[in-house]
Amino acid sequence: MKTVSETTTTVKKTKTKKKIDRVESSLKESTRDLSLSKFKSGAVVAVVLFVVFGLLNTLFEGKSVAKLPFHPITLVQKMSHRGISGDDATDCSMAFLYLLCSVSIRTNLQKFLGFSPPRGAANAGLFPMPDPKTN
Amino acid sequence: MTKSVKSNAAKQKQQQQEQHNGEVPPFNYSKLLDPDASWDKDQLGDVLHWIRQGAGLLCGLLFGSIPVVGALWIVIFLVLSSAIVYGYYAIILKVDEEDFGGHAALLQEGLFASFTLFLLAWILVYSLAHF
Repeated sequence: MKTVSETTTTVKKTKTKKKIDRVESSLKESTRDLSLSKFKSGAVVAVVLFVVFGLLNTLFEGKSVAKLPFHPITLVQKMSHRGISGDDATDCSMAFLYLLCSVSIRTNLQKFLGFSPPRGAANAGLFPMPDPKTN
Repeated sequence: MTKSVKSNAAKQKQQQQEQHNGEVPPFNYSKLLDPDASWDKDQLGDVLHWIRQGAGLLCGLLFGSIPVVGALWIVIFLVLSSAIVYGYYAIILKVDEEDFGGHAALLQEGLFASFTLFLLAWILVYSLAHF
């Protein structure tokens, strides 16, 4: 037969569990809303970058914009020597320089301004992981 | 001397307790060279990231100005920047890497961005200064 104190403890545990469930479901909803708004702004950024890349491509097509101080591997040459005539592997195309600028400057700017995603949050958002707590 | 050692240990214990309570230890520049300071994982990660970016930019500018050519210098940069980061967290800060996810987690902090920044700086300085 359960004592009064055991019953009180059980009731408290149930209340705490319900509170946790409520907070978790509210967190999931907020995460979903955040992912949706990030998706919308991400789409606008993608369109702008696409247009900018297309414009730069038109302006610098076939031209070598820089000289590489090394011979890139074949896989990298496909991008670094894209659209350039001749066999000199150290000729650098706009696409490769654009990629380098894009990765280095965007990552650091995001970090500097505080917009970088938190560590380990890559999989959160649109596709939430299944709840490990199963009852 | 004994009093200051005791007060340092007490301070560290208090900071660790605050961390256990969920509070992030405040960041100030004085703790960059302080081996007794307690570090939050994100704060340490950010510091290591910026150290790598600085090393990447510096190496890129230097290699482009000299100039040096050859893919070997990419390997030299990777080894050098990793050594700088390792030296900072293991020797200057003396942090226990197990608390922060191991050597791999600390060494890969900002690696790709610093690599691209290094290449960008190297290529630009080399092309502009010598062609």
